[in-house]
Amino acid sequence: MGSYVLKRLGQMLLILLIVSVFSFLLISFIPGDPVYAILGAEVAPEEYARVHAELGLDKPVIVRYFDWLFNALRGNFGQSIQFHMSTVELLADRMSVTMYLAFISFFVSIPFGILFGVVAAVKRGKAIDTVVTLLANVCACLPQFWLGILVLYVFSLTLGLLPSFGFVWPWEDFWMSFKQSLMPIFCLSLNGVSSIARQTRSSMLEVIRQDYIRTGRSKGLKETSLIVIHALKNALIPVLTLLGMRLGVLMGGSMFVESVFSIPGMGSLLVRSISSRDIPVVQACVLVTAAITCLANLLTDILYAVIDPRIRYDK
Amino acid sequence: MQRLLTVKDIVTSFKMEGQRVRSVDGVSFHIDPGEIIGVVGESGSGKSVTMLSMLQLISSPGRVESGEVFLEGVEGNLLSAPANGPLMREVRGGRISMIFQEPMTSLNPVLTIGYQIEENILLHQKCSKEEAKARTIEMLKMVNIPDAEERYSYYPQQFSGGMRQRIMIAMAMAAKPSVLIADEATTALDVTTQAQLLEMIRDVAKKTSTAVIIVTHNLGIVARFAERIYVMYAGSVVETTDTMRLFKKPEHPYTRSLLQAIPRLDDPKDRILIPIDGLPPNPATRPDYCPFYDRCLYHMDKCREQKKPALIELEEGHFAACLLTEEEKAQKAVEIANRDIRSAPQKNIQPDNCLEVEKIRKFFPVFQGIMRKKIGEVKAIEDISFTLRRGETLGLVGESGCGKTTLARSIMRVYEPESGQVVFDGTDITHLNDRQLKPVRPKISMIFQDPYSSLDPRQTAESIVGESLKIHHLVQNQQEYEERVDELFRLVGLDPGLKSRVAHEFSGGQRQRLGIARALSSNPSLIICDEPISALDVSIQAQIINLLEDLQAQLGLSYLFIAHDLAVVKHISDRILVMYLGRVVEIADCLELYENTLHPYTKALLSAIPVADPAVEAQRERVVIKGEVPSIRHRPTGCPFHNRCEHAMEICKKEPPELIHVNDSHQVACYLYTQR
Repeated sequence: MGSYVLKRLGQMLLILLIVSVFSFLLISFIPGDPVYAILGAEVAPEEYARVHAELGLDKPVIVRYFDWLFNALRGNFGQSIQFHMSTVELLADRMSVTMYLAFISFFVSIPFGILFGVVAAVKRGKAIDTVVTLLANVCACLPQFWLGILVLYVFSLTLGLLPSFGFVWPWEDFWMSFKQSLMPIFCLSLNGVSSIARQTRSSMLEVIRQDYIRTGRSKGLKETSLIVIHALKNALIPVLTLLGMRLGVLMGGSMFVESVFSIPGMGSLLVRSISSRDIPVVQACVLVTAAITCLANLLTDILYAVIDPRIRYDK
Repeated sequence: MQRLLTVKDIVTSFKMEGQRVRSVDGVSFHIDPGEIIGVVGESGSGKSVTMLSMLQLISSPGRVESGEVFLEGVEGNLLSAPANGPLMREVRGGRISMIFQEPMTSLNPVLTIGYQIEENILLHQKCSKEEAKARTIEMLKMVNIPDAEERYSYYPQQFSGGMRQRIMIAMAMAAKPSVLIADEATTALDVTTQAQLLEMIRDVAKKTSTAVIIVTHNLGIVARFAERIYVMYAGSVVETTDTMRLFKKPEHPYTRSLLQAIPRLDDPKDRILIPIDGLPPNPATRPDYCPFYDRCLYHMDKCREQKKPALIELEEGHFAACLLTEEEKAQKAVEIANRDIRSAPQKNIQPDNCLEVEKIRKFFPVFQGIMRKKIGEVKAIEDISFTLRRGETLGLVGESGCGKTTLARSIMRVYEPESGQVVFDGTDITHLNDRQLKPVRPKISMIFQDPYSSLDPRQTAESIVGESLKIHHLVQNQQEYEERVDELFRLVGLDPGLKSRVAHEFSGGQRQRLGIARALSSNPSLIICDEPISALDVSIQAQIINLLEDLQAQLGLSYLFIAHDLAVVKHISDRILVMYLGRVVEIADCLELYENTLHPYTKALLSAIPVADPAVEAQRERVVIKGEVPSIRHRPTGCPFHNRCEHAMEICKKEPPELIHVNDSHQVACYLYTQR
């Protein structure tokens, strides 16, 4: 197992390197100029040339990339152009907000998703199955920003129950924090709950048909213990894959929700940095998201071995 | 007298295409403590469904319509108790246990076997966890699992199929049930393992006076193990009596036909199998009258006019569901005997060899790691030599994993052997390349085991059969093609009118006929038949065996007939080659092999096969083989069989014995016969 994890970590570094090359190239090739983004369109040519050189933009893109890479290897991700502060500090600040929301919604969606999925599978063909399946299908395809705007309209603008934007940590003001994060977490979780429920239902239905479930029933097991002990553990294996992917999606895809609710997280930071050509920040954000996705996948693969004894990575 | 278990008139239906179809139509049986009964029938006869219905384990879209089940010590009808209520749950596993067919899928892959057995004990017996664990280990020892304490925490996939089935038995017996149902429990296993397991079930049952219901399609198994037999056909019991009487004096025409259709190990060589024509009725369109009417050789007009016959007691303890009287049957039997004089097809064996295989070996490399480094070899087959004369049938027997298929593929030149020689029709084809092989390819054909997956589901029957005519340019024009395809259809007994259908529109037997027609299309001189009948129902098998024999006589074909069923191999072969873990252990003429068995493995193999005749069974000498077939990757050095052989000597562990001639028609690879 140990050597397997090491091997996977090695692969992960390679992936991150490739990701950094592509994102660097992409951001350099899209039109727009960071100097104008900083100084505005009305700028004197001398001033332009000074800032241009200061940012290192006069060098070829390959040189810039390697400059960035060697600095990055030493832990220096450069200065943010728009915020005039160290990218690392900026990111640490923003990332903690995103991760806070992502993890809460991740752990909220698991139990609900599995519960709904199991109930629908066990009551297959009954009214409750139809309702759960229908809702899950609808909710799995609602776009987050649309959902965000909808709840914002209903609960903040019409009913006035919840604040429409902002973010404070719960240890600063618990009640406020609770009210502020309710809608974002709902929007972030709904997709997860419904896709987990769908996956759980279909894999449960698959497992319930298996011979060993009949064996269990022929032993005289109660239906509940049959479902919980014998069926669920088998059915969770494909759900685990989905969870691994969810974690990546939550980290990287929080930009819509963060933008709608004006939350100072990594998603909204990334969006802003792209439009202002803040290359160091974009690079760091992309890299962090990629690393988290890779780690989530690795974690999923390790959990496979724990839950399913058929999978053993090193013989 | 109070019976242990009485089942009365179970009716179970399944919803199919909007209508309810009775797959079990009024089955009754009973069993006494310590008794072993057999329930035999072909697939779809409703034998498993009856057992599941009894325990209310039928799931939607099936439903138990009516019936009564009385179990000693339980008040009232079990079927009126709620399906998942406390009473039923107590009965299941606690009083009536079940072992299922598929050992590979019947155990939960994510739970340890210890947990799964223990669970059964904790459910039904008042005891602590420690006591349950102790009992689990005791059960594992009882079913001969070595290192039971350590293996307690193993997962099912760490065991072989035979071992898993032992674990299933341990689990089923763990809570000391009074009835054990073995539902085709040994069908998926090799014959020697099958014999070991059934003997074990019998011993355990007798020791604990557990009643056993053996559900199977194999008449040999019930002849050997059961005391009383129920024969099922199309959802009903058609005949029941004690084992001796059933085989000696079968009364129902179906039982009689079945016994005439199966080859037996103790058959004379020229025995003719009399197949049961037609197919079992589809439950959805089953007629009101006797369901066997259409296939019955004895049928009379009155059978069609009356409702389905009930079981009638002919003599004490012997029931049959047939309307005909003793006299009518006797009269019909004479008629049938006169009508049906079919002589065995004339064999025409030429002196020249069609195929010569000389010391061929095929090794497969084993790779490991990211760099796919070669770390070793699996010696799939080693030093195999034999010859096959023109027009002859050589039977190839061995248990799963012994290299039968690798050998067949090496001869077909799917694989290129590492060393040795394959000479076909005088040409050495061992190392020919694809282009050089082109003229040889049509001369060697193959018939496959599974008629369901070996035919392309989207290809029409015509193109399945005719494809190789085009590939090998065996026909000049479209008209010739059509004529040849029609001829091939007729040759295998299929109506050329069915040409445009696709595979799933044919029954299993018909599909196998298509497979045979496909093999014949290129005018081969050698056909390799890889288990061609093992996926078919008993009553269909005889049809295919007869067809193969007729074709051989008609076309002068040579067959290499691969099978694990020695009775079938004996019936069809002229000579038999026995393989064990990639090596030939014995080659002999068919009768010679049976009458003068030399190799200890062949002896054990022959003895493991039950003969469908309890009188013969009672007299047979048993050679019990210990242990399981090791994986070919861990083949013992020296004679591959030495670690399971009771005659093993020092020399057996060092050098593999050479194949030597004992007489003209008999070769064996064993030191017992070279030391003389």
